[in-house]
Amino acid sequence: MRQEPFVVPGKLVVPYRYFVGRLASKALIALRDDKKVMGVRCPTCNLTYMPPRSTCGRCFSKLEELVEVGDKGTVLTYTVVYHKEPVHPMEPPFVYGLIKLDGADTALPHFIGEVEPEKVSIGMKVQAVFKDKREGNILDIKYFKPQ
Amino acid sequence: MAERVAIVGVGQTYHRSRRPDVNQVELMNEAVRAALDDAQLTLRDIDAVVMGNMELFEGNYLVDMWASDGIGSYLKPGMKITTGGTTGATVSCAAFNHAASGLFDVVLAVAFEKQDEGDTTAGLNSVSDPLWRRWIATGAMGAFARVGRDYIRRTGCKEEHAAMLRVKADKGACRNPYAHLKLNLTIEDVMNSRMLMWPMRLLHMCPTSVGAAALVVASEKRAKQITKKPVWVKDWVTVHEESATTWSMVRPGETSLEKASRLIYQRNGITKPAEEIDVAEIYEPSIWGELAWYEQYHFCEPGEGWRWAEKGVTDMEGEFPVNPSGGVVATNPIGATAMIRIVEAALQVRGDAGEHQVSRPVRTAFTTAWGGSNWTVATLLTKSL
Amino acid sequence: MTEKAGEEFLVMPIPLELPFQWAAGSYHGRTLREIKDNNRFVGIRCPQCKSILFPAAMVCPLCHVKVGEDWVELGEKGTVEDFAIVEMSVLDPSTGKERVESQPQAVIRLDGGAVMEHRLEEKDPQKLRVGMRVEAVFKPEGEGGKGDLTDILYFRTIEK
Ligand SMILES: [Zn+2]
Ligand SMILES: [Zn+2]
Repeated sequence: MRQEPFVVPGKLVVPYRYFVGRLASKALIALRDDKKVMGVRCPTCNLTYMPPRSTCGRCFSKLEELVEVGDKGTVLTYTVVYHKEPVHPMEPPFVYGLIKLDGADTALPHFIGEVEPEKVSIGMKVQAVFKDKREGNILDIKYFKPQ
Repeated sequence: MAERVAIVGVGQTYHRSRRPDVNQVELMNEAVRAALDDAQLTLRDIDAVVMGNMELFEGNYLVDMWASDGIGSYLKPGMKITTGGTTGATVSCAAFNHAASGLFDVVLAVAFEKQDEGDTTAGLNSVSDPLWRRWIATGAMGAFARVGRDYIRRTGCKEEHAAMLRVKADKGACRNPYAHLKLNLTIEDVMNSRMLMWPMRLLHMCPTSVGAAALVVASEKRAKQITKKPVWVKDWVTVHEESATTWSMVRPGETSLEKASRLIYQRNGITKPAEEIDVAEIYEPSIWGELAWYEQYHFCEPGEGWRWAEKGVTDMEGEFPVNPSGGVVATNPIGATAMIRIVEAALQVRGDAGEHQVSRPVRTAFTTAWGGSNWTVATLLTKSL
Repeated sequence: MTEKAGEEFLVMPIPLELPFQWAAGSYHGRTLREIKDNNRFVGIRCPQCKSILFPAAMVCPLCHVKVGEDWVELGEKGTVEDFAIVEMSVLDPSTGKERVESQPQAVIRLDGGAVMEHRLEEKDPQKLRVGMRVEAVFKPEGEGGKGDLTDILYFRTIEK
């Protein structure tokens, strides 16, 4: 017996929470309280990771040495979002960038603002703009603007 | 099988209700470092990494992708496995298979759960069929309450017998430095704990734990180089039943628990499990599971489990010790729990379980895992090949 | 390893709310459609082992053969095989809210041979027993059947 498809709409709703752990807590508290952007250094590989992590994937050392990587950096690459999606954090057009902070060896994904999307370029020097009311997460940086 | 396989290192975290001081990757890292230290190896010796958890308890997906630095899989082969309550055992089996294949000499297996990040029962209920069972599901509590009711009606067992086994589990947990709940329980404490759903009381049920476990597994040649006390993984098996939608049905024939254990006994010439096996670490998220499942693992005759509880057969000093670690009812970081059975059984075979080492000399240990849509994993560990 | 007194650890709330469209397929779908539209229970018989699959399924889980079109009406009356009074609440992943089970849950063997789980209208523990006779009470017409088992309100006791 052939039947029309039987499809029922439903939802999955669960209140999760994420524990960032000791090292990342310290780094995010410095961002929240002192507007300091922190990374972590691997003394063996001489690399500074931002965001910080507590194990170096390359040499498996335990990482504990938080270092300030500064609020200025360089755009490694970027993309401009033109289409509207419910998951997007703001109205298009807006710019996502990978930013290598001056004191870090890795790139941080974030927004690039206060600039026409057409004017953004690879190699552009940018600087963090902090929120006034900070909560201890990476969005305490509102976006990066041209230096 | 091409290669024989041994466990050459084990590790686990101290299991707790909450670990705000670590994130998920850092939790796994603690177990990985413990297992590498136990094996006296470094990450350079590891050829592949297998990991697993139950993502619906944390709400973070593809953990293997962002955990590579913490679990040591950076630029190494590896995979992620999620099979419900059996996850830790299935991850272990995957590591055994990797080493047995001859393609990898030394394999690291990691499993964890960080239950302080989600809601366990909501997670378990979302496993149910969304249109048939989810609206009425009551997680593991409902499933094991039914196991208890069925066992009581069928065998004449009393609530005291569940309490006896719960006190036995607590005695083990109190001697196990890694166990979560250490409560110094009396029979009265258990019998007076809060009723959840008859005959299930709060103390009949496992806690929601945060924890991780890790194993280092090696092929025969490497195992003998690495350690003087390899624990041989003699055999392992996984068995499924029908879908979760119909698991409430009265099912004819053998259960996955019965079949997995029967297969492993048959393949290894075991005819009297309780005599030929020296210690068992079984997966019992509720003490009613332990009571009802002794017979399903063919340890005892049908309906005899509660008499065993009365006689203390499965105590740490008993004739056939079961769960000297305190078991799942004392410690349940879900994704890691089934691996902890293997970790604990390996420690018993090595004679390294310390305060909770059983009195009976251990040459052969048996472990099980159970979960998801009635999936059972069983392993057999031995002191000599 | 452990917390030092006064140390601050950050925890980020991550509320998950994902919409899904669950496709029941034509077999399970027909069982649900019959409940929603016609207030009756319909399963399918396995051609090999003769078990009634309820909800209907394309393949028998016991013998792995494809079922045919041997649809079976199971009746709306049955016998309670097991029941439980739930004395705790659970977080429901369909709503994100605590669900209090104020009515007893039961396993009911329908007269047509299949088994299902649902709630009982009777709440008095003295009046609950294994073997009691019950019948399904469906949502009144016009109250918007959803297409899952909540289209049945509960099972009520059949008075002798
Ligand atoms: Zn390094
Ligand atoms: Zn069949």
